[in-house]
Amino acid sequence: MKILLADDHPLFREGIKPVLRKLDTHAEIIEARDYPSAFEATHHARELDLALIDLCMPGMPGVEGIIRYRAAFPAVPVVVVSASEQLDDILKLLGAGALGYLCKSASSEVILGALRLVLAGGVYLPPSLLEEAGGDEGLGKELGRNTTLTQRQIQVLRQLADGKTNKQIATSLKVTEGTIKIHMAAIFRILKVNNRTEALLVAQKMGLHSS
Amino acid sequence: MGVILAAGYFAHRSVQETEQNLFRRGQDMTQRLAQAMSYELFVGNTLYMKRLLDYERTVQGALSIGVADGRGRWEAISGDGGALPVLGYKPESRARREGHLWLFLEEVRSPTADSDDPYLATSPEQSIGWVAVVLDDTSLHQARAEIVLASAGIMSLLLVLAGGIAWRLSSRLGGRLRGLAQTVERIADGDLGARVREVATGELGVLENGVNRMAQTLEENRRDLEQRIRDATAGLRQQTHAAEAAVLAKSKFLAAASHDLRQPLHAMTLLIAAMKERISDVEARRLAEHVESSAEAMQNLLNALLDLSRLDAGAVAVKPECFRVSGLLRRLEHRFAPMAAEKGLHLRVVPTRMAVHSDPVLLERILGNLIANAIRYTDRGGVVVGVRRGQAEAMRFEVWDSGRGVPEHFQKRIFEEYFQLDNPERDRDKGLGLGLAIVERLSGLLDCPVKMRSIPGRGSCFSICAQRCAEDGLAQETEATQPGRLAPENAMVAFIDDDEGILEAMLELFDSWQIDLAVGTEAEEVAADLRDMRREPALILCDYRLREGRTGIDAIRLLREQFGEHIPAMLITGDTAPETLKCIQESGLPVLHKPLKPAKLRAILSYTLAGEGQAPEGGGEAAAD
Repeated sequence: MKILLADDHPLFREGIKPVLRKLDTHAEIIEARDYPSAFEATHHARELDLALIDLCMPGMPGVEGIIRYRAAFPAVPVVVVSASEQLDDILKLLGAGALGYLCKSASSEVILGALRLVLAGGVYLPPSLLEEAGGDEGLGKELGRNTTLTQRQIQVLRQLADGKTNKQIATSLKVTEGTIKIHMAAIFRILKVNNRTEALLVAQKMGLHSS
Repeated sequence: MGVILAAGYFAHRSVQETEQNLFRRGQDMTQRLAQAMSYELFVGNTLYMKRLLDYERTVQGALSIGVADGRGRWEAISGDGGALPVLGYKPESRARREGHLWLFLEEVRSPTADSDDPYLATSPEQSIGWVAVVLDDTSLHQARAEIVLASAGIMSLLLVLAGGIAWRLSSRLGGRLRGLAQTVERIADGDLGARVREVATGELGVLENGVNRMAQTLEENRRDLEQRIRDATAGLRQQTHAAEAAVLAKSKFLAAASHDLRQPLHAMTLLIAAMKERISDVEARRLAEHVESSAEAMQNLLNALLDLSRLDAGAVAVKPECFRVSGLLRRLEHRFAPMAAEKGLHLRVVPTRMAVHSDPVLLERILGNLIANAIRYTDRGGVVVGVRRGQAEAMRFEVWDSGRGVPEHFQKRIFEEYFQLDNPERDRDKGLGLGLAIVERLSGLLDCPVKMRSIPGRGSCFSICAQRCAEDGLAQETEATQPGRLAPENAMVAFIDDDEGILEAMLELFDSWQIDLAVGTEAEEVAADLRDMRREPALILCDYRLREGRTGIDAIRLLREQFGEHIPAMLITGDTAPETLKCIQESGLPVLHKPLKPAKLRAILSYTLAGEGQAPEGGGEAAAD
């Protein structure tokens, strides 16, 4: 894993390195101490998995720096690190596509959890803002095969229990039939069933039906 | 008055004297006549007697004079005979007063023997008749009137003179005294510049001089005192300015340096955590834990201090707005419920639909501090947070606890820095004593004062006032501005991959992002589905290697032909074969490499879907390979 660590305080960089190593023991950490060097390092590094950027660094006003960085490297997940919580800033940064906002006073556990959440596709916000960012809480895992049904899959299964066809389910959920087909496949796999009839029986056992 | 009395007395005296004089004259005249008449009467020489009487009457100014014989018969009369009394044989009194007439009587005796007259030699001295003199006191009355008139005239003259002198004296003296009194009064009133203007000689002058000297001394003293007070005040002001400047400088420094001050501590906390994990020795680990908690305490203290300095330095801007209270209360509940539960307390937040006009961040910090404080000082029972509707536009946030309460004599001090109840040993677990000091400053900024009521042993209630907002103007818990939302609602992404497992996983991920995904193993299938749904994709994601030798490039071309050339598209590949990469590069499509990581995908999606434009062609890592 390649991580950019941009902070003008060498001590803080040293402090956060062990946390990044915990994320991935073999993480390649690229350091930068201001915006220009962060841009340069990102340009030279290939396939950055994560960029941890201090909001207040020399070379550019914080929020503007992040916006420009995002525009220059849209495929790089950015987590902003800051010494203080400024609601206005956070909203602007999220608008620019930052995937997380970490307060420097957070403990290493919180930082670690936050970075894992972001890597799994979630957005991390400080507790005071967590509520507004809701909906990402179930994202603590790596992309892969799930073993429990998701909300969406339960919705699909419920309609299946009502005897609807894939097409009908797709129409009612406003998604494509192909998508429902894939949902079905996932449901069959998770419920360890082979066809719709067996799935229907499980669904009825679970007490699932619409309305 | 005395003068009049004296004048009267003297007038009376002179009248008396005149009367006495008249009396004596009458007596003398009568006696002298009696002697002079002795012989004439004896011989009966009436003519002579008459002549003598006339002469005497004229000279002496008597009214009438008469000579009578021994039997009381008038021998000679001069003047008004009617005024003469009727003489009896022996008249009783020699002098008497009848009205305005004075009557004198004298016995006329026979001539003495030494007379060479032979007729007399033998006869002894005996009474032979009377002389009567009548005096009129009209002249006396006249004299009396004259005297009274004269006295009165002199008196009035004297009075006028005395009055004049008195008036003159009084007008001069009175003026002086009045001036003096006014001067003294002005001095008493504080006008120490007042002076008696014209200084007279004499005793009054001494007095006036004394007053002037006194006033001058007072004025000098006062000037001296005022100068000293001015000096002292100026000194104090200077000191105060210096102290204020020092405090402000300190606050400004701390506020400015807070970023740098916090860094080493943040780093330290992280480093200690990392170190702790590498220590296997139990004792060393225990020490590391101590260091860790010290660092944490230090960080808390520093944060509170820096907050305070930022407030004191005026570095905290207030941005009031109208917002619903419910979200704020919910956040506070989330944040403090665990802390309360840890102490076995119940935290209850009373829901409300009210909206408030305030700075949401500062208000939340105030309430957070109050709730933390309430939990800290409550041992059993719980903490209740609620909002009360006040009069007109007012509302009040209240934090109730069933804690120890604040004794009355401490109630004013609890908002001071570092003031803590029950914590003489300054146990840091009990906090730092800065919470309420921060609350007070924040509430000052928001212009909503904090109030406290407390019954020791029963609990306390802290409250802050705020301004209410109309609730209808506000959106219902705005979803649109929800931060962290990846794409606009109804955005649909098309995803084509030949591996159903990947489709399944992708579907789950996109579901969690609340983005609809149209998936399929073939472009035609997805296109048909989308046409059925009458929707067009906002983004096409496509695996490079598809079934039956088709490529993602073909799939993207197909979808773009049906739904629009403008639709952003990206290829995904796990291939590292040079030919594949060459093909992709030639297509000009951005590329993502497998394994596709959620964070990266999200980063790209947020850029692409928010921008509504072409995915970054040749931008970022897409062009890196």
